[in-house]
Amino acid sequence: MVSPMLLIAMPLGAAFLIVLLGSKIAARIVAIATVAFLAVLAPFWLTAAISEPIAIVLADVVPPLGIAFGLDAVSAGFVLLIAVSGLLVLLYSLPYIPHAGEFKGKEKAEVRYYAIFLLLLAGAFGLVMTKDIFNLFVFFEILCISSYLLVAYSQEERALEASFKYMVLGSIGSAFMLVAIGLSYRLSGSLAMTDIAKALAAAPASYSTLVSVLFVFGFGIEAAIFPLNTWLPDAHSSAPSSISAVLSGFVIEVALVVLVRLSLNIFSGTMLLVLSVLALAGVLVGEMAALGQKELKRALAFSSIGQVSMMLFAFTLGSEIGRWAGFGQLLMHAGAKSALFLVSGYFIVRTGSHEIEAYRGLGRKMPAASAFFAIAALSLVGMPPFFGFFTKLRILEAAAAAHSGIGYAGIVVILFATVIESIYLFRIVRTLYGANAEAAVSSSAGGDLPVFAWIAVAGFVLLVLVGGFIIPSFDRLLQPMAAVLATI
Amino acid sequence: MISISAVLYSTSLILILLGLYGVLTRKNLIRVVISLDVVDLGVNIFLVTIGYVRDGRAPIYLADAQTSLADQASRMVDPLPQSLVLTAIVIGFGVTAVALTLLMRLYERKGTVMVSDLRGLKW
Repeated sequence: MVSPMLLIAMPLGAAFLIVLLGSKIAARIVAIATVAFLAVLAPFWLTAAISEPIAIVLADVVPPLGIAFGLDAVSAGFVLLIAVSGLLVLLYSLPYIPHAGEFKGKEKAEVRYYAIFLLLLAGAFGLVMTKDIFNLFVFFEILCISSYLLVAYSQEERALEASFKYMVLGSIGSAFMLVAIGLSYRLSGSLAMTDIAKALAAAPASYSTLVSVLFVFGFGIEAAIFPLNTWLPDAHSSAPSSISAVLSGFVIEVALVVLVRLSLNIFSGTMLLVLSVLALAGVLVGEMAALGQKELKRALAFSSIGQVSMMLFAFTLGSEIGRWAGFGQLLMHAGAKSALFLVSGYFIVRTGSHEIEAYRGLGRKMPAASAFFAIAALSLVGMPPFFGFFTKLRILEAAAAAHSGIGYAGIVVILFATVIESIYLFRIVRTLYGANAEAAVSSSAGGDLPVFAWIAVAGFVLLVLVGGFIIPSFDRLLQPMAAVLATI
Repeated sequence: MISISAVLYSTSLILILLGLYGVLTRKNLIRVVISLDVVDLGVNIFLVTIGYVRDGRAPIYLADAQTSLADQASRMVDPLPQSLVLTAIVIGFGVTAVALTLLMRLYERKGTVMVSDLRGLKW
C-alpha cells in the first residue's frame, strides 16, 4: 500500500518542480501526470479506507505527540472526488487557459497557473485528511491563498477586486479560527481533535459555545454559510471558468464537510440548529438572487450558494439518512455545477460576453456545449431521469423522516427553491436554443468545444447522466461516508 | 494586583477589535490591509499568552540546577503556542504580500485604491 501522504507531498513537490522548470509544456505534463497518478490510486485508498480507516502519524515520538493524519471513508471519498475533478479540470485548462485573462498565452503566467492549481489540490487533500486542529488551519490557509491567487489569475479589474474582497473576508475568518484554536488548546493542552472533543465536552457550556461560534464563523466564510457568503458570487464569477468549476465543485464542499464534522463531533452538536436555520435562509437567498442575475456565471455562483445550503441543511438534520442525502447532493452538484461552469467558460470565450442575452441561439453554433449545459442544468433542477432528482428526493425524504419543525420547513423551502431554480435555469436553456435572434458569435470565432474541454465536460456530464441509474453502487460509498461523518 | 496575562489577554482583545474596526471603516484599501495585520497581531499575542507562565523560563531541563526536575517543569513556558505563532506569522506575511500585490495591480489598472472608486461588483 502506497502511503496516503503522497496526496500532500506529490502536488506540493510538483508545484515547486513546475516553477523550477519554468516551461509551459513541462508544467502541463507534470501537473496532469501528478494528478492522474493520484486519481488512479484514489479508488484503492477508498476501498481500503472503507473497510479499515488508515491512520498515519508523522514525527511520532510518544502517543500524544506527533502529527496525526487519517484516511477514513469521508476523507478517502473526498480524495477521489478532488483527484478526479482536478484531473478533468486540468484537461479542460489545456485549451482554455491560453484564452483566459489578458495574458493570451504568456508562458510564465500559465506556468504559475499550474503550480498554484497543484498547491490548491495539496491544501484540499490535507484539509480532509488532517486530525490535528492546527494543521487544519495551515492546510486551510494553503487552500485559501491559492484560491485568492487563482481568482485573480486573469488580472482583469473585476477579478482583482473580487479576489481582494475574498481575501479580506478570508483573513478575518482565519483570525477567528486561530482564536478558536487557541481557546481549545488552552482548555485541552492538545491540538489533536479527539483530545479537544473530550476537553470541550467536560468544559462549561459557555466556553464550548464561544469556541464553536468562533470556529463556525471562521470556517463558515470559506464554506459560504448564509450571512458570510458575500464574497462568493464575485469570486466565483470573476475567476477563470476552470477555477470557478473547482471552487464551486469541491472547495466550498470540503470546507462545509470539515465544518459539519467538527460541529458534530468536537462541539457536540451545539450549533446544529443554528446551522439548519442559516442553511434554509441560504437556500432562499441564493436562489432568489440567482433569479435576478443578467450574467451567466453570477447566476451559477448564486445557485452554488443555494445548493451548498441545501447540503448543509441535509447534514445538520442530525440523522444518518440526512448525512447520506447530503453526500449524494454534494456528488451531484460537483458533477453538474463543474460542467455548467466549464461550458460557460467557452460561451464567454466564443462570444466575448458574460451576459446571458449574448448567448441567444448558441444552441446551433455550439451544439455539444449547449447539450451538455442543458443536461447539467436539468439535473441541477432535479428533473427525473437525471441524478439530481434522486439526490433531491432523498433530502426531502430525510427532512420528512426527521419529524421536526425545521424538517418540515426545509421541505417547503427546498421545493420553493426548486421552482425558482427551474425558472432561471430553463430561461438560460431557452435562450441558448432561442430561434428568433441571430447569435452574436463573431464569424472568426471557432466552433464548439476543443477536444480536451469536450472530454472534461463530458466526464462531469456522464456523472449526472448515469448517476441516477447506478445510485445503488454509489450508496456503497455514500453510506459509510455518512456513518463515519459522525465520528472523528 | 492585575496579572500580566490579564493585561496581555485584554491587549490582544483590544487589538483584534481595533483591527476589525479599521477593516470595516477605512476607505483606503492599503489601510484595510494594515488593519488586517493588526488583527493578526492581536491573535498572535493571544496565542503567546496561552503559553505564558509567571517567572517562566525556557523549556530545557538543567542537570546542575539546585531545583528538582518537577519544580523546573512547573516553571517552564509552554513552547507549543510559540511555535504556532511562528507559523501564523509566516502565513500572515504571505497573505499580506498577496494582498499588497493585488492592490498594486489594481492601482496600475484603475489609478486608485479607494474603496469608493471600486464599484465593479455588487450583490
